[in-house]
Amino acid sequence: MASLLSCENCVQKSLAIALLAGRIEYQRHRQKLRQILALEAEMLIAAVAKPEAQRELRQQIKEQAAYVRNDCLAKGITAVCQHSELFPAALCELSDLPAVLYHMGAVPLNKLAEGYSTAIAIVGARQATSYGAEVARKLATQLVQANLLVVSGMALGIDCAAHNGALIAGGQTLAVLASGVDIAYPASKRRLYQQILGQGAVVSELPPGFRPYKWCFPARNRLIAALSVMTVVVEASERSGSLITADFAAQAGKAVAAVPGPVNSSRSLGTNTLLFDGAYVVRDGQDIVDALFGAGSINVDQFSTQQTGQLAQELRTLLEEMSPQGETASSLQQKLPNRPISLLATQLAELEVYGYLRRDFQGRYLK
Amino acid sequence: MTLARATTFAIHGLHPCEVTVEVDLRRGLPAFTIVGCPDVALKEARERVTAALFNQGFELPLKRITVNLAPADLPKRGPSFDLAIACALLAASGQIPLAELADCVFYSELTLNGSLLSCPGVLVAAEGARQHGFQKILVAGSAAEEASFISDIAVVPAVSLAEVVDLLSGKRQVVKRKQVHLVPADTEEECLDFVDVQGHHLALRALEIAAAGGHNILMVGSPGIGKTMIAKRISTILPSLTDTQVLEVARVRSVVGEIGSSCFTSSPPFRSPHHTISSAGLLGGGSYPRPGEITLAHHGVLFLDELAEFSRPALEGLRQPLEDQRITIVRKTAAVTFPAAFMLVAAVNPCPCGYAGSERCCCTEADLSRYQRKLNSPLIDRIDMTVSIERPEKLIFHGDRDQKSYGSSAEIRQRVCIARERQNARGKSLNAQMQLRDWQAANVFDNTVHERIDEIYQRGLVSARAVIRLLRVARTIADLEDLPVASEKHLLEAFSFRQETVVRA
Repeated sequence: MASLLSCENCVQKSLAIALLAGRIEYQRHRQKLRQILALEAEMLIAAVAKPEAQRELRQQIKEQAAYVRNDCLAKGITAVCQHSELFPAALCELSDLPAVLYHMGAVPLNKLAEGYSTAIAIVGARQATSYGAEVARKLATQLVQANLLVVSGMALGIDCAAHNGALIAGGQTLAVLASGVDIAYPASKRRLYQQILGQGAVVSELPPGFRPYKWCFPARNRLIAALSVMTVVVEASERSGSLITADFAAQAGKAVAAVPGPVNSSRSLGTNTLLFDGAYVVRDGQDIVDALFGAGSINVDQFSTQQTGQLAQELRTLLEEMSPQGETASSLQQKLPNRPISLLATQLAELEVYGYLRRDFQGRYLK
Repeated sequence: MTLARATTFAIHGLHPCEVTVEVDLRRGLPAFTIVGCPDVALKEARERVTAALFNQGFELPLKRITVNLAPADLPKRGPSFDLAIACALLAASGQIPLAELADCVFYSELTLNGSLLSCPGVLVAAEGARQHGFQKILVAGSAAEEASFISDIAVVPAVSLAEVVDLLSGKRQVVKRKQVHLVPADTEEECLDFVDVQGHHLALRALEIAAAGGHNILMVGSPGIGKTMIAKRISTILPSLTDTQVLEVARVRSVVGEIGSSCFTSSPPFRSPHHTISSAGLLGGGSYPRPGEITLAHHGVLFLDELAEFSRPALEGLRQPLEDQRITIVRKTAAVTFPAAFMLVAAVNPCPCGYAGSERCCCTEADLSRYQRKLNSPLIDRIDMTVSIERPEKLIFHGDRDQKSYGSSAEIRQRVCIARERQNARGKSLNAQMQLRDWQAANVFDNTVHERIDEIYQRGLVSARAVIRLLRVARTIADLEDLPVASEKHLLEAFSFRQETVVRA
């Protein structure tokens, strides 16, 4: 269901940005980028485009505007600008707010708007370890169970793990893309992209069909930070892009949290430094909820759907022996030496079939 | 009489084909031609035969010599025809009586000084000789033992061409040889035993099940964890071969030329080709189709270490033999079918650097997806069991090591043999090859199994192809416990050895 609730000027500005993306790429410094994005369409063109190309550019924009509108209608994309009432209020606080916010997906903008008061951004490194991915996934699942909205950027690694965790728990998730909303970038995550469309929503400030340049990633990070009340960085190395998101959030006065990691791991250097600089410590979903709403207000565990009451005693003890990083029949045999290995394997398989455990690629069982 | 005939055999695939070597002498400029589809080595027989004749003191007739190898359209290769050609030539020129060649088969290469040299395929030739009703087969001395394995045919070893002539013309007596008996597997040097393996109980349990039912199994683990060590010991828990199987294995070895003193052992073959092997080397092939490693592993184990390093064509080519237990190689000359009823044991790292999941893993997403594409393929789908091998918690170098081991090879083997007996009683093939319809008649699964399988499939935990494999492994687990009907817990254990993805996705 598409609707075009954006005025002509705004659409033109968004097109201008898209067409000038190549030249904007040369503006490396982040502050300069924000200044450019804050300009009105005319000023933007004047500032960025080559003087001799400006007339032609304006012509191009006028022509493309019609294409964009048709495209949106055809693909079911909703486009809103700040002058529409559906535009997320959270974004209005930005001086460089998006000219047009394009939206696609099962959950419409007005529904999403309800969720913004409790939207949590879960971001992190692309080169995530399995620890980071697992934590991100778990966090997202718990947040969804507590009825919070999970926002992320659908980047490889932590972002996708978070989206996955939210989807698996049957909840909504919002992906803010650096490309147009109709493009799945990275391409390897096409399936996840489809699932997000089916259960959540995808937004972007760039028009449909747009392929991202480098500057689009920090640019969209500012939107992620703006749309959520708290940004949680799960795993970040010293120079990770997710730290930019944390930066934006801090500048906007939003809460910043981080998940600790091993101190000798370079992949956690960024997050550990954030903690050192005063970010909230997040060990699980409960910590997030406590930081936002005060300790003891909401109990995340109560939403957990895992009732172990009807399980056989042996299976229950087995579940209790499971450590968070997962177990195999071999490792469990150390803890439960009286059970023969074939029995352990059988019981683990039974728990998997019942849904209490799942398996990762290494064959380890995880809760 | 200037036309003489001697009989020999050509090996086509693994079958002997009777070849009649005809030698015709006529007046004319001295020439020596060999016709009848010989290959290069065969054509060189001309040089070898003439030199051998001279050096053994015989005359080379100064006539126009034509040697025909009939049937003419059967491709013939190799030097095993030398002796037949030489004898036919001698007979044609009257140096030995023609009638003596009638009930003999000749199968040997000749050196330049006239000695007999053993060549591959003696066993097959002897089988062919017996099948076609010949009384004697003349071979080189070193090949006598190989040929003696075939009963009902007299094996006549000879050292030189002169001796052959003497034997043929009756100047020397043929000494009847005893038939060679099987070397029982126990007398082999078994210094490998599973009792040496510390921990890894899960892996050994998986291997026990795989050995019992002939299931293909994949071991996933980081480098240095013990996959190769475990694989080397698999032969120690496999049951001995039956007599027919020993003969089949010996036949393949004979054709390939790998016959040695251990060729008639009743322990199953264990082949472990290096991953740089070509697809023809693994599956069989060449312009004259020759058995590959899978055929050499017939009735035994094919161990592919570092499965991901094998070439794509080689791995793709394995799919068909895994399903059909044989491989057909088609060439423009002919199509040859080799048997390939092997148990596949493969070892693989969980990611290209080998340390997936831990801090040391340095693989990018691109590396992983490339690796995954190679491994999570239809080949993996046809592997019945997967077991992940973990790094042992502690290693014990002294003291009571037996505590940590799963069991000795003898114990495990006993259970495997019991399971095999059950399978033999039930049907003609091992569980790994059984079809659902074979089992539907006999009541081998109880209702809980059917319900559980339904549930597992509905939840999308396995693919449709995986369902039959789960049932097969479940049936084997029940056989290991000597139970006629398999129940839910067997299915669940089978399910624990089934992984849909093997590589970090």
